[in-house]
Amino acid sequence: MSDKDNSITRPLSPHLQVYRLPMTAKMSISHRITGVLLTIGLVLLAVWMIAAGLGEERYNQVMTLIDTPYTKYVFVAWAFALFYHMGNGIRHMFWDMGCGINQKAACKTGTLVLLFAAVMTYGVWSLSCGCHKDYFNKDQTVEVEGEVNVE
Amino acid sequence: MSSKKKQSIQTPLAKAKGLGSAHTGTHHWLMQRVTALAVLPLIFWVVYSMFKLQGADYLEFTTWLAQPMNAVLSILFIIAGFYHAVLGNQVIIEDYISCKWFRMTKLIGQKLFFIALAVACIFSILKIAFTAGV
Repeated sequence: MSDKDNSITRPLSPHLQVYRLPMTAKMSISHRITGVLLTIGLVLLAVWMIAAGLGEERYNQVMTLIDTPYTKYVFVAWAFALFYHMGNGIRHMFWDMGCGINQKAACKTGTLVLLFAAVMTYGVWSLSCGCHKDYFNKDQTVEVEGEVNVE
Repeated sequence: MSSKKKQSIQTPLAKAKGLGSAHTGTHHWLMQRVTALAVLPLIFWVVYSMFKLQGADYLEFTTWLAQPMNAVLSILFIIAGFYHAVLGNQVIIEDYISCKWFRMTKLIGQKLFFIALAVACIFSILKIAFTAGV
């Protein structure tokens, strides 16, 4: 038997390009991806605070870059990544304690995490750009929104 | 071979490769969990604050950050958040980058970069907290 025949008949390990990932695997890699995205968000948050520390001029410069009409959508996406990573992190902690480490439970808790992230993101969405956007401190937020719209 | 080296309990292969137990594996794992727990209650506060501060001007932002509660929670979030991010990114780099010198460069580089950013951020918060409104 040649090497070539051998490589075709031999069972393949679950390789990313030929293997349909189960829901738990997709959630696992999403945990990492959202982790990286949240790191970028954290860097942006730090840049925002550092800019404020450098004085009003620098703060305004950075704000003209950061504060666009699309910022609130980025914010909602960031909130989703955050709540997903948080929910899945709690799931990981339960696994560390030995709870729910089996296929059935992992699928169930995975769905729960997705639901949690979806509900929380919907809340953030409706409060920041949806129907409840004037819910907190009406007089303050209206001022801020006016400025955003002008730009 | 010196007598000092003979006393080592490392296997010859481990000695040749320069490998051995560094006694830090569990610490990384544990700190990942501890920082996660630290960040957990702060997340709701951060999302609420970020939401309220969207498009805030300089005065709004600094008066908000100068309040003791906001300054302290911000610093805590920055420390725990960056610590958690460094540990998480370290695992990702270790898993996906096989080229040794590039991996080491990224590991050390990201650590130094995030420490510098966190320190600058904390300094900034303290500066605003101590000078705003003066």
